[in-house]
Amino acid sequence: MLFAALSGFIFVLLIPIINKYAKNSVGWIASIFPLALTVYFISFYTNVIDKGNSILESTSWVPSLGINLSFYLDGLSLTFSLIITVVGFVVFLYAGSYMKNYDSLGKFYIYIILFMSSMIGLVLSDNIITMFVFWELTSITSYLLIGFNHEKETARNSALQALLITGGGGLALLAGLIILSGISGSMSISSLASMNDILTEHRLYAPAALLILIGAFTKSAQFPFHFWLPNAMEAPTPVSAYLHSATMVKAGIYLIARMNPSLGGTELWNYTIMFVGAVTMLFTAVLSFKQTDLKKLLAYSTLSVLGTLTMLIGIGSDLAIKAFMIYLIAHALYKATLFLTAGMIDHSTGTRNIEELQGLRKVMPITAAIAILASLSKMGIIPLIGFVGKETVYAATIEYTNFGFLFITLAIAANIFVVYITMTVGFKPFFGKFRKTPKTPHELPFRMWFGPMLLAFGGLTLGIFSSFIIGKLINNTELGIITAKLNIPVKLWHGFTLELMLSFITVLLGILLFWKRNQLLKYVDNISFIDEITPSYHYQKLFNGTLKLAKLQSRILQNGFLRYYIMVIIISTIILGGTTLFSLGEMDYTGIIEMPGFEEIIIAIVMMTATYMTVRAKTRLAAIVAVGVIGYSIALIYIMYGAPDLAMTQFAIETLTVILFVLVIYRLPGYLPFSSTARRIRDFIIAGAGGLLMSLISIIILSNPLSSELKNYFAKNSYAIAKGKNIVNVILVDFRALDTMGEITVLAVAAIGVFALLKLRKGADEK
Amino acid sequence: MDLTSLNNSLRLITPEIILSIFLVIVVVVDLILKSNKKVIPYLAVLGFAVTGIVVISSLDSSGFAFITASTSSKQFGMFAHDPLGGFFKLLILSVSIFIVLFTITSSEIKQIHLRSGEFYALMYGMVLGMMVLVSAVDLILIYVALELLSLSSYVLAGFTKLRDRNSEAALKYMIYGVVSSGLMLFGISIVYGLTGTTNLYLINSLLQGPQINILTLLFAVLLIMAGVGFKISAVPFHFWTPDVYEGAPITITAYLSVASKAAGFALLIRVIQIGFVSFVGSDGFWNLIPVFDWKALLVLLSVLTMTLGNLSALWQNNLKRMLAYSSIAHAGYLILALATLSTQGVVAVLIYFIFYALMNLGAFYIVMIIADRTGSEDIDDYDGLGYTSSFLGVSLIILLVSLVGLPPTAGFIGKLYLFIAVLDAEMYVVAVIAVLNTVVSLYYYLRVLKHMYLTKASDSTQSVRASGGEKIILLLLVVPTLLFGIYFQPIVDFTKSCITVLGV
Repeated sequence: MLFAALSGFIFVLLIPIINKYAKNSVGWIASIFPLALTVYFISFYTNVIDKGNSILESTSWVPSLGINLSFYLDGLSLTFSLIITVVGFVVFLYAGSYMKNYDSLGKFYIYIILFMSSMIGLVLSDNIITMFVFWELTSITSYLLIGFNHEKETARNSALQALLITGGGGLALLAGLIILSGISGSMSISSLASMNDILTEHRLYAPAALLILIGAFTKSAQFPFHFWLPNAMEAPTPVSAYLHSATMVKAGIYLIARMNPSLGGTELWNYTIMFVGAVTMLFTAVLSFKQTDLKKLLAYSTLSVLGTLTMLIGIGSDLAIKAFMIYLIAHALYKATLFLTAGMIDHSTGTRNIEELQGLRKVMPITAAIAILASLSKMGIIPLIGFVGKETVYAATIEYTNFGFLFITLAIAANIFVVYITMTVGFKPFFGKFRKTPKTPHELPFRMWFGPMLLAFGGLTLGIFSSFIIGKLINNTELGIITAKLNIPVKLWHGFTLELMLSFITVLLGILLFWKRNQLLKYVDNISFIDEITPSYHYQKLFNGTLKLAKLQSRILQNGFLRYYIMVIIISTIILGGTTLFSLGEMDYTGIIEMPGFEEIIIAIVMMTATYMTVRAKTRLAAIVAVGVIGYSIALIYIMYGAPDLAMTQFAIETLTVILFVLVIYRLPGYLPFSSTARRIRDFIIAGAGGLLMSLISIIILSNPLSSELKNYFAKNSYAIAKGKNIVNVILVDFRALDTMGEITVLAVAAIGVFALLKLRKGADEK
Repeated sequence: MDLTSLNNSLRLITPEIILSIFLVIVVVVDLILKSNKKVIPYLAVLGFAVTGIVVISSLDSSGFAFITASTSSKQFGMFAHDPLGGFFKLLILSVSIFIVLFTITSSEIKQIHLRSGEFYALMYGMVLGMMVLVSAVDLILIYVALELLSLSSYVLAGFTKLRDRNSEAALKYMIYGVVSSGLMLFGISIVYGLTGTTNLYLINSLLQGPQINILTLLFAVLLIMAGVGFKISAVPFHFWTPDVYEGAPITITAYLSVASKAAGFALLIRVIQIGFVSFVGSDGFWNLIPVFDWKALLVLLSVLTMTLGNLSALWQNNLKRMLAYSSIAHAGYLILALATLSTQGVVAVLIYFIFYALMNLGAFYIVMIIADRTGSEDIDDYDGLGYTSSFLGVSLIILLVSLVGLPPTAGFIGKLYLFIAVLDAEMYVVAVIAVLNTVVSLYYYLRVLKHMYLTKASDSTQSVRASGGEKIILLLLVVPTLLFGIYFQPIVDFTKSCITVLGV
């Protein structure tokens, strides 16, 4: 299975070569690949389905973290794999003809093969990290596929939107999965199934489950993340048929089904899934009403079906799981077909606007036949698989005790809209009087109708022979979802039951809705609040809001003025230091502060006056001189406390600084007082707070006697070891002689440098 | 200090000595060669390579050079020669080699080729500073190394003087740097005042004693963090980053964003691990001396840093500036890993750094190649570039996907280790913030892809062709980015072997 999952990544390397030498038949050749995989997966059918075995293969990848390339094939993953490869085959074949005018057809096949392989990897993976890798790969490849028609601005934005939502959801999933593996100590999905008790009782169960569900909901476009799917309809039609109906959007549902044995059974899990599914089912069905684009209509019906599927897992009864499986297969068959026929209509007539399309049955009889066959399945007309699907869904919903009545009402309401959509998409374009379309319509070549026909007839065959073709498959698949094997037979005809009646009513009401469409639309058009309650609107608001916030904060903080940057550093230091200072409570300073002497007061007054003068100075020179006065005063303090050497240094440095400043000042432009009074007050507060904080800190430090081993050490040893009485001299020439030598060398080098610079300067002047 | 111990010490700093010798050689060769200075960059690469080999050959050993302090049982020096330092030295040297290779093809640097001797000498200065910094365990040596690094980088940031922006960048960088290092120096002096030593090991044992004034220490640590925060451009010490990154030559920008950040992180790891950890638990979590709440500080810094970095990157149109903000955000993730205060966290930091170096250097290099041809770093000038120059386009896809942290690239593995470490430490809230941040970052990285692939080239868009040499350099970065996304066990093993010093 490792090879099956990864073969696409090898096969893809051949595409550029095929595209170079056989550009016209690249579609034919590429479609061999999914066909071969289909055969490969069917070869497991006896082992997995008839004997009920599951196969686990593992290759170590990162043993230290327990990440392995392990693949697990049971009924559930086999069903999904077959959907992926069969629909893949049809779409590959179709795209070769549909997209033959694209320059970059080879690139399209590269992307879609990568996508298909990632999808297969996703449903086969048994390791949570491996699964996540494939999960995000499907997001990335689908981004490239959605954006394939990149001429349009809308296509670009919707590609980005889809990736932001599914990619972001994927990260939530990752977090959830890591927590899960933290709880269980295992990264193997199949081994998690037996740990349901441990997992659901753990205190981190709720965050883990919710994060995983967010990942699943974004991928499967559940409310409130559903809006990316209709927008993604900008993709080329084969992509929509493959990704947005049959495979990628089912990945989230696959995940929920796969995790159901390990995480399910709690109220949190079941109710969340059930209600999110139900809301999606109805809400998106209603939203479809105003649409006029063939593909958008199909997208909304897909959303509704995805909601139904999610709801069914949430209900979780045996019958519900059976309904889930039948509906899943039925939907993959008819929805891909309808997307493909919609593409055929678009290809042939040049429009997808439903208002412009009618009476095409004479020009495109084969397309019409295929579309109608798929539509019948979708509407749930006997004897197609869709009928079996809808019957079982109704039966499962009615049977559900807690909210059975609520959900059956919702399901019927949603299905009325689905019937309406089907009428619009599957029947309207072909019946009635022919209208002129942008391009002259024509029937399409074999390559385009062969695949959809295969799927449409698949729906018919599965419906008629439902019991022995998918009955077994489903019975074994359920093992993957609810761990108990059930033996509810799958049959086409259950007799005249309540479900049959409800089905009938649904179809009738749906047709009625279609009939009265134009009248109803007039009412609906006047209602605008629907735009505001859709999450899409809020997404856009959040999106723009974030961008605005981002701009605003950078304008304020990153304004390019160095003085503000430094101000922020100082303010944050004051806040951090100050809060901790005050959080420590009151300090006792009484013992620390001594009454200052007369000279000290004088010096303090001088310093304060100089500070004031610095701030108020009208010229730079005055300000610098005033700063110099402060420096000199500090040096005086040094003298008073018996550190004349330090004082001498300070005097020298102050003098030098003032001289340097004076030298520079004459090269600077004139002095402009650009600070307003308000700014000065602000600066004063900041400076004052900083000074206050530093003073407090200094006092606190002074209250702690500093331990100085150095002083004692040198006092003791300078005469004894080095025979010198002046400690400073001894340190310089004896204890730290090597350092002194280094310093002298550095000074010498610096002096040479200065000398060289001065010489160069002279040379420049002479020129 | 007697001569035997001096001799021993010198043996331990062989790589640094070799580096200094090459620094001198570069200067001398520069003086001898009058106009044709093409050989100098190759000489520089040779020097880094030789130093790298020496570092590799002594990677397993450890010891202290310049013994200045001792307790009853052990002697401590100013300079620790150990695998952790070795790891960072190798990283820094490899990055330096790449940067020199970048400069060989950079048109910005070609324009100043007469001064290229100084340029590479200054780079050597930076590398020397960084190499000492990652090994320094004494506050004084740390400060000196930091200054050596900073002073060299101030000059390099404004080296080309081709535009006003260039000089402005250098000046801002210097003033900002001076303020930060001033604050840091003040903090160091307070620590010395409190403990009477500048050796981190001795500080640790003194902090475990009873009579430390916690408030003062806290303040001192905050001040020291100002210096470190400046180097790793953590919010609120990050302000210089966008301006300097945008204004400096791209090669130097790339260098600052990876190498000098790595050195900063090495310093932070050492300060916390040596100075403040009382013992390492068997589960890899550090038990800190209860004098300073490192976790709170680091979590705060990391959340601020990643959020602000990502938010600001959102709307940038200049790619260099966008990458600057993105590098701030990445620093945020790295601080988060460190905030777990665990050995797993440090492993995550180191792994992340290897991958971050690859992808960030690659992204900057592509921006450089394109700017060299089109003269623009603007995102609008990338329209349709994926089709006109598919090699650069595909490379940039891989690098950007990796920067987001999506599989199957190295960036994902980095993020994976990081998230595992964070979740292991039960820091769920910040983990969620980090995930949200990653979603935000998804947007601005993909915006570049959108422009390259989904937007039609305007008529003014020039086709950009990378030369053979540029392709090879780029492949050296892109192929590992992809390869390590799939097969990364050796990296993980190597990293783990390098942090044995932290007590696992």
